Amino acid sequence: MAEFVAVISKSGEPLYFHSSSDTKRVRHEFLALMALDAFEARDYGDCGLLLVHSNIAVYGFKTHTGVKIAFAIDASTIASPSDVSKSLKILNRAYSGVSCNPFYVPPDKIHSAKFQGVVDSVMNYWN
Amino acid sequence: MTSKPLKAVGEEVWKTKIDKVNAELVALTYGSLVAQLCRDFENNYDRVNEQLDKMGYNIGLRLIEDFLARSGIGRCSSFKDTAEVISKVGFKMFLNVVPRVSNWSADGKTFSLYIDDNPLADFVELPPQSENLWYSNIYCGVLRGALEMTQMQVHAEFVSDVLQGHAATEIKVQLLQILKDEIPAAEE
Amino acid sequence: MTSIYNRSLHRRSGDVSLSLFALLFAETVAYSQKHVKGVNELEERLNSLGYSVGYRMSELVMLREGKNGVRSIEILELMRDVHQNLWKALYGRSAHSLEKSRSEEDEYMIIDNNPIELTFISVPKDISQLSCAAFTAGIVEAALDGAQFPARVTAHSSGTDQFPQRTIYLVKFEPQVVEREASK
Repeated sequence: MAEFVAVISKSGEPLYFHSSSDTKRVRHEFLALMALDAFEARDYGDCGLLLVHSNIAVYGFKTHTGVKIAFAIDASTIASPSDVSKSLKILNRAYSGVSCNPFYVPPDKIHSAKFQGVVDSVMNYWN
Repeated sequence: MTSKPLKAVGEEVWKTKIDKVNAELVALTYGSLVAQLCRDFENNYDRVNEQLDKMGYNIGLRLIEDFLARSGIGRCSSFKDTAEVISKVGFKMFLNVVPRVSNWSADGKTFSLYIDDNPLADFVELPPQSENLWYSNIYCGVLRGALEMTQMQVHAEFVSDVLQGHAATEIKVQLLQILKDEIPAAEE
Repeated sequence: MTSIYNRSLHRRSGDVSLSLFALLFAETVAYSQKHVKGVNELEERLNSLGYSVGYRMSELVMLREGKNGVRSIEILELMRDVHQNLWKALYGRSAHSLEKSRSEEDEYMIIDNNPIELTFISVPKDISQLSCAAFTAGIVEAALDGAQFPARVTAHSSGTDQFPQRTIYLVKFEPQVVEREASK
């Protein structure tokens, strides 16, 4: 079960947030914030598992421009590392697509329909 | 006129006579230009379209020389012929895409180009409230400028664009008149 | 998952014609000239344009090559990468030479005898210090920033009789890069 997807700028500003449920959103945002600390210590690329809290596992990807992508699933989900890794790569590619849009100026908030479409398909996969 | 089919000519010219650069470089450069124009004209998209057309026109005036030199294609015998050359050789050798030619008017003076895979449009998502923007309007100017240098005055305009959520990307090209020999001046 | 993964691959690592690019660039310069006050501002605009292109391209380049942090590379290796691979990725060929400054620890020079972007540009003699190659300089700067080797990159016309548009791209690395290198 997918929980949330977050995209956070190099300086820690939220650029995008999608939560699987409105009631859990506050908790999700808190977890994304916690994940920031875990991101700090990591190098660029697939950061793997960042933290597990409240039965939610948060995975992360840091782009080489310092943008952080967090992807969280229910910790009791049986998650194949390959599927997690692919999900992160897919989200990274989708983010690259956004940043290559000439009308997107970092660090704007992300309002892309294409990006939302990718997030939806990744989250649907895990549900 | 060459006896080889145009499609083969286009492919051969693309493969053997064209110096190439990365398509993403061009798409991103063009994108930055359009975004800059939108800022400079404060999102007055009619003016942006106009500016893109002008720039395209200036490019077309010079691009045609490149076209004639590299393709070896001579004078076209009809406007229908011209349309085929534009799509199978022109677009192919400069953009490596071949738009479909279709939708001819009864008098043979108007046709449409359908671009299925627009290299300039990669990664582009238009900003909100930009329904008036023809993102790739530079093509219209290029067509206008290039054809003027071959004595054809045309009107070229976008009819639809997938970037705007339409079903297809279509440019309508209309022959206005055949010109006498005159060198057109670049547009400011 | 695999099908979503495959569908997400960025397509089109193809090419378009150099003439089209060079003419587009020449028109961009002509347009920019009307919106700036002076040569320096024009160069800055072109440099910014190049930077924004390079920044976005490097997202794609990093993506495909899957580089995961290039901090272990040395400056010289990186510069060779830029001189050959970045130039090839952009313009279909490597630049012509790479030099390290003899006097300055933090400076390198990439030389291109006929920069692609200048193909259709003719600079009037009275503003001969203008280099529209500030555009590529911007791309290089973005690529270096992306590789965590921040630098300032400027383009300087250094024409010869044989190569009138010969350009030197001067790369001046930030102090922390040089310090990091020295401590290795």
